[in-house]
Amino acid sequence: MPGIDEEIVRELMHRCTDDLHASPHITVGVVRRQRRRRLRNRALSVAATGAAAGTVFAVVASASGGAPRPGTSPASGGPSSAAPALELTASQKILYKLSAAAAKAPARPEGRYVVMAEKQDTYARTSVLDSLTGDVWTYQRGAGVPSELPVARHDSPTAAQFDAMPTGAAALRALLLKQAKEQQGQAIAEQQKELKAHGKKAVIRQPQLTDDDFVFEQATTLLWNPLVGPELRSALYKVLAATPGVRVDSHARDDLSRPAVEISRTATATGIEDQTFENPKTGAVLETAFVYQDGTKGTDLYLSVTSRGTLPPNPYRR
Amino acid sequence: MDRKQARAFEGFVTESGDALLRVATLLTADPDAAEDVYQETLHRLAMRWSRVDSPRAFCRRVMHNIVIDQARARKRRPRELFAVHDRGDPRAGDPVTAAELRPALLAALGTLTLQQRTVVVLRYFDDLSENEVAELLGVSPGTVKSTASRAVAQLRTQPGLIALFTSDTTR
Repeated sequence: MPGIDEEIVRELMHRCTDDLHASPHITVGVVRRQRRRRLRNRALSVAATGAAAGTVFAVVASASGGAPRPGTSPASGGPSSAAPALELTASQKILYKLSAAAAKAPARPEGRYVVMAEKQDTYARTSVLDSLTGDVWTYQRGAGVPSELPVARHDSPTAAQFDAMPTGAAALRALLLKQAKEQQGQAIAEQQKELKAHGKKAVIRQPQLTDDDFVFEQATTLLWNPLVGPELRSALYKVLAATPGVRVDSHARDDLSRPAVEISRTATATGIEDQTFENPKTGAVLETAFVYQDGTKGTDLYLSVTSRGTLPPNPYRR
Repeated sequence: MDRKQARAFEGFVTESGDALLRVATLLTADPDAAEDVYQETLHRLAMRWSRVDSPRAFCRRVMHNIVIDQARARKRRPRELFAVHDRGDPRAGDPVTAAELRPALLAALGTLTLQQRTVVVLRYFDDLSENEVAELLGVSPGTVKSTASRAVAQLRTQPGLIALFTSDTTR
């Protein structure tokens, strides 16, 4: 009976799936994750060479020693060790206060697996970071989103890599910038290579990010990560204090109405505004958000950070 | 991905997302796994969006690879109980609704090998020719033909579906 059974199979497959509709949440999530991944990867490459940071710092500091940014000291990066000949702006004062609070905050949780409960846009999310390998598990619950994403191997810098990063503001800024540029160069080269392999003309338009765009993006991409220790977090706020275009509001509230210091900046090149809301008492990140020029907004709320010695199961699985 | 590319990407998914999710559901024979596969396929498409000539063909290839990877990973884990997903579409007024039929079809598809299932889905759901399926899977057209007929023969004997294959039940 050739043909008829095949027709039945065909009809059956169509009939049985006619009522399946893909959720637009997934599309939106993919676009957002794409953006985050780009930022995260850049941060990853920063930390991967973090061990060499001391050397980099020595060179950069002596080369640019004549022109420290307001509020930074080339030697230690701390405002207290530099003669306070420079007038601090109100924003800088808030950020230094935040930096001091972050330095005094408790060290990151002890267990190997750091569990972060989040709310992303409309759905609940739990990220588990392996502090030893940087692997990230993502579990979620919400309309139309899968409950588990494939494990992202080495998606985060490890705790050791974070700890190896410099904690002087000038050195940290130099490292963030250097690696951001290197990584963008690599990405463009890779893209060109691939285009060439397919016999296409390589025309890659990249937004022309300024140094300060790079630095702000890098710094805020590291801040939310719960594997960042108190010293590094403290240093990151000092870097932000020295980055032009940063707006600070010490009496803001995040989307859950928690009191927060809001730090935001609109990238010169892209017009995208990145916002981050911090706990004024600990310097921990409460929320990150970005707003496109057309008003499209994406938010990540951070609800809690805990840790465990063993890999926790998906909390949303039935 | 910049804003303009994101719009183009969203446009493609609006147009083809349902079809992709349906293919994923049939390929995996598991609604939960299908959503993961669907989302991962979109991620990979988004990563390469500016370099992809035919998004549909790209997705087909990528989805196949993901399903293979998943199947390998699953071998190492105990197989979860088959979960019935009822999304209860109110429009389905037919006495034999999609929601009623789907578990039976997916269970039947689940008895096929991954290769058989892929051939059946690409050939009869996606309407690719034998040659196109052969090229995608890297096998000969003859293999596609024989795999398809063996798979269909097996489907028609599945308990949940046997009544539907009325063409030749008295053979």
